[in-house]
Amino acid sequence: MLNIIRSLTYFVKRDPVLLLTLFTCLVFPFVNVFVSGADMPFSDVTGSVYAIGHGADMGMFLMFGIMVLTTRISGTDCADKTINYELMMGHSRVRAYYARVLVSGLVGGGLLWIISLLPLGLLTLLNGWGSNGDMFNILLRAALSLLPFLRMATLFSVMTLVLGGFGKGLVFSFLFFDMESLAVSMIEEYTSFRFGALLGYSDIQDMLLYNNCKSVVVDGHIVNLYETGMAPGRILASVIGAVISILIISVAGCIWFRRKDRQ
Amino acid sequence: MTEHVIETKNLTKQYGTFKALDDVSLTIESGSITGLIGPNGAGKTTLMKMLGGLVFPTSGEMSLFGESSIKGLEHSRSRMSFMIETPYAKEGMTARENLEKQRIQKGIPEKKRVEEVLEMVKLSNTGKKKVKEFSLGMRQRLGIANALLAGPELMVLDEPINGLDPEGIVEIREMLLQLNREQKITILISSHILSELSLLCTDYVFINQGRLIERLTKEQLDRECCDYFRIRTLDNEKATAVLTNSLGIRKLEVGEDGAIHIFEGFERIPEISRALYEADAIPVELARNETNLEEYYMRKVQGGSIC
Repeated sequence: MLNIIRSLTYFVKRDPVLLLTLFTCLVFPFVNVFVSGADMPFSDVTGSVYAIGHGADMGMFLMFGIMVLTTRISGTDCADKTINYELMMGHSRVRAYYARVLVSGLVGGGLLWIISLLPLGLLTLLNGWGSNGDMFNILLRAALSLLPFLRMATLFSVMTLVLGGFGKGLVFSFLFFDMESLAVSMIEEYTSFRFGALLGYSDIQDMLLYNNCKSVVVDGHIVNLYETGMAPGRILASVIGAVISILIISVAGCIWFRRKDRQ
Repeated sequence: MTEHVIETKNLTKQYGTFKALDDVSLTIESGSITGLIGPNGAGKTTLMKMLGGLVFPTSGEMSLFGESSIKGLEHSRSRMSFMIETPYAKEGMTARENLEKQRIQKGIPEKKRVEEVLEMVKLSNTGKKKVKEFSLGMRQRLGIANALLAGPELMVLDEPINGLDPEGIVEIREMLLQLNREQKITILISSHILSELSLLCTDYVFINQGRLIERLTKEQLDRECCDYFRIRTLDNEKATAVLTNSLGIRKLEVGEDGAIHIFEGFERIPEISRALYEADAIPVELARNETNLEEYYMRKVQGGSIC
């Protein structure tokens, strides 16, 4: 499996679509900070200002990045049939499948998650953390959001492997992402089942969302007050739900992948 | 004892009511070059894909290098290489990058191997040209290079010379023959260019409508091929009389080409020639006519007649 992972990495380093997507995901948050923060001096854009003001937006933006990266990594070899060489070489289907899910997860979920934290880190280094939010609370939420990110990466990757191509995978991932938000909000509105923790994107957004942010003056200092988008119990459910979902989705996909004839 | 590198028993693949492969039992011996011959849709590619682990049989068994378990088959495939249909490649990568990716995937430690195979298939000068700009012939060469990369013991090649120019066909043929002779690589090859197969193969397998209809060696094929002597004379009437009355040859006819075709007594050609000359039915052309693989195929697969 290591050889398949290495060959996928070789492809990732050379594919213009993947490189462009990673570059965009790297640059866009900084552009966003500078554009939306144009009315305040740069030195006022601290780590906490970024986390509270842009965290959830960046989560949404990065979700599109995850979609492109995971579907591209998982689906290109299926579409051009180069995955067949791995099977004809004697690699088992399970290894070919999990190598893709793993690389998709690491690049699409893990690497992008790290990229999402870069502006936070850089602004904190340059301008300090600031007083707009509790550092431990925000960083813990940001760290825990990795698991739901990986859950989405796994879902998109498996969906692409089942559909058998980058284009199909991307379209269906986008449709799923779009429909899911609506479905989750409807289900959660009328039932007590927290559907979003297992499949939805809304959990990630809620985890990084800080509502009703308002500025007050305390002892002559401006302080921003906010409500978190997600209660601690729900965060735990989201993290556990992510692990369960990753296992169920990847195993179900593997069962399908093992039995399917490849044309 | 000759090793069977491929052995299938009653291999069947069914898609709904359509049988792509029907009860195929076949052995391929080590060191042979076996031509898999059949019309489009006969089941050649399905059989090759099954050997490569891409398609699962509906029923039946197969073994590769004597291994028939799932793990054993996977291990055996690491000793094989496949080129099935149009060679698969990353369109946005160069030939070198494609092979490098495959080298990594196959776990071949020697980096120079990529250059060696590129040299072998004459693609070493393609530089930064992407595969999407390649001609069909260049893609075929890349597919063959990929098949050669890991130094396989058994190569399964589906239409490898499709799209190659005449010079390329000869080069690939010579290369395959050399690999077979010098490195003892067993080759299973399918092609629609039967004249090429006849120059290459030691064994032939005829397949039609998913069924194996005949398997024979080159020697058996040579014997099976019905041949005749073509005699063109200045006086066919007189010559026919000499052949039937004086020499007792019964199996003969005057062909559409205006020559006399005799189907027996090939060993008596000097005697026949002398008798015709003495009878003033002077032979102006005397040639042996052999049925080629193409005609044999037509007879076997399409039910045509040659004699």
